[in-house]
This record gives sequence, structure tokens and C-alpha cells, in this order.
Amino acid sequence: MDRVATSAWHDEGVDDALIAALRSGDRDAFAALVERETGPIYRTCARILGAGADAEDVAQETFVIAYRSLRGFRGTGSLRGWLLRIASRQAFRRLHRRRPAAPLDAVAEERVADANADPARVSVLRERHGSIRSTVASLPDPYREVVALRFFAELSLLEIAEATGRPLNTVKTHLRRGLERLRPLLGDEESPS
Amino acid sequence: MTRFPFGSEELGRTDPELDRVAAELESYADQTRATPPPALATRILAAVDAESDPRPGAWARFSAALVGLRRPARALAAVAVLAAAVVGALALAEIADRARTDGFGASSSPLPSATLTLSPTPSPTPSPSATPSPSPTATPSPTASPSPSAPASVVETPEASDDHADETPEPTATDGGEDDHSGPGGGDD
Repeated sequence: MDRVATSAWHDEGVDDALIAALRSGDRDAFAALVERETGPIYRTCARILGAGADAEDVAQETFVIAYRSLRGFRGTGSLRGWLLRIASRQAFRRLHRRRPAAPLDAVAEERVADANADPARVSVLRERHGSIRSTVASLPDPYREVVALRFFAELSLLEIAEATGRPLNTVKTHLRRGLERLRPLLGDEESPS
Repeated sequence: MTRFPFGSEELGRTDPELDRVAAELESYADQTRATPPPALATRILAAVDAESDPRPGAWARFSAALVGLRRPARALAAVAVLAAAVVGALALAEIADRARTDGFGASSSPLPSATLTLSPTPSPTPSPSATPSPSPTATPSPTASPSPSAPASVVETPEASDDHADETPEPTATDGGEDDHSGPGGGDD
């Protein structure tokens, strides 16, 4: 594989070359995509599901789905936005399947424990994180998707509009309504951070 | 720190309540900035390698090429495809017409062969008339005239003058843009 091209693919701005290579069936290009996007994809899954095996599974599913459906990518937005949309959908689907016995994530807990030695505080944070995840997951679509893409996937409104194919103003409306619905559920409690 | 810190003004109006909810979500995102396990990328690639090659077929490549074109070029390509289809259909019709004309005498015809031998010219119209018709409107008509002196106006039946009979109905606009898996191709099942 061309090393120059590979390094160029790590730049977010050169999606076009990468997309062309992916469409021609270049597996090295797909490897470059995986290397570049695994972090954001996994992070988004972990924020929806909690870090751990489920987030890893969904990250893997995301790339497999993307590989199968590269033809469906219209190129209207970034590859990352497209992947993150797939990831968030799959993650919420997984969350709903396992909801009756949702375990708290091990890695996130570890991070919390590292940052805050006080066990009581760690416990509060765990509970709070679980509450935020389930509250966002309880939103109806499309509000849930937009809130997740904005805050968990860290996309801008414009990137969300491109990834979802919706007008920017529609995305704004969905985000505002989603936050308004979250307000009575999240806003009352003091953040323990 | 999040890539794009939220401000309610991005929604078109300032709202401290929305800012407070967003701040909580951003705080959560900051605290859960998990890094993937080192082996995850390898595992993903192994899973992808187990998949069959999704390289598209000829039609899909053509469609993808169309999608990749800019709008005027796409329209031009669509017109070219349409024109090719029309030309092809006309050519097929012509071939079929010639085959019917050439093979008429040889094929088993419901008409008596004596009628055909009386005709001085091989008329495409299976007319029972013994006299050749001098009419300039000797179009090959599938309807046989019952009377020998039937003028050309017989062809112009009310049904034949219905200009809209062959019109193709307006295609229904289908919205293929909403979901690209989706669009995003995948993810939708």
C-alpha cells in the first residue's frame, strides 16, 4: 500500500481519496479507516453503553456494517459522521436489548476510580453516569439520535445534518426538543463532577 | 474537552436551562473519554476480512458513478441512458415489424392462401380484398377491413384517436435520500 496515501487518509480532510479507494474494494484503505476511526466510534459506543465488551462488539459491528454497505454511502457528509450514525443506532439497539440487566461498565468505573479516590463519590458518579445513559436512551427518535450525535459522538450540528440528510434547521429543532425533554430528567440534580 | 462546546445560541436563542442540560451531557462525555483496547482494531479487521468482498457489480458501479457525478453531468448521463433505451426499443420494434412482414406468407395464416395469391403486392394488411388498394394510407393496420371499399378513415376509430392511451403514467417520486444506509447503508434493519 502506498505509505503516502495511507498517511494522507489519517487526515480527516481527505475523505474523498479514501472513499474512492474503499469503493474500489481496497482493503488497505479500509484498514486505514479502521485505524483512524476506531477511537471515536468506540468512545461513542462506550458513552451510550458504558465501556466494555458491549461497546467493543458494537464498534466491530459498525465497521462490518459499513464494509457491507459502502455502496450506500452517498458521500454527502464525512465518513466519520456516517460511521458514528451507524454506531449510535447499533449501540441504542444493543442497549434496549440488554436493558433489564444493564451492567455498569468496567473501564469507565476504573477511570472514575482513578480520578476520584473517595469511594462514596465514585459510587455517586457511577450512578449518575448510568442515569444519564438511560435518560438519553429513553428519548424518542429523532431526538435521541441528535442528542447522542451532538454530545456523545461530538459532532457539530452541520455534521449531524450531513450525516442524517436532514436540513440544518430540522436538526436544530430536534436538538432543542431533545434537550427540553431531558431538562426535567437531568437538570434538577447537581452534577457531581 | 469536547470538539464543539455547546452554546444554546447555536439553536438560535439563548436559554440557560438548555445550557445547563448540555453542560451536564458534556461533563459526562468528558468523564467517559474511554480509549479503545489496543486489540480492538485488529479484531475489527479480522471480522471484516471474514466478510466477502463487497465490491459492487457492473450495475452498482454504474449507479455509483452516476451518484458521484455532479448534477448536470448526472442529468446528461440519465438523458443518454434514456435515449439509448428509446433507440433500442425502436430498433427492436423495427426488427419485429420486418420479421412479421417477411415471415407472413410462410407462417400459418388464418386467411385462405387463395386470397393472398390474388394480391399483386405483398400487403402487410391481411385484407380479404382482391383488388389492390390505391390508397396512400396503406399503413399496416392490424384490423382487417370488412368491406373492400373501406376508406382510410376506417383506421381512425375512436380508440385509435385516443392520444393518451399509450402515455406512461407519471413516475411516483420516491424519496431515496432519507436513509442511506443508509444509508448510512448499514444499521437499518
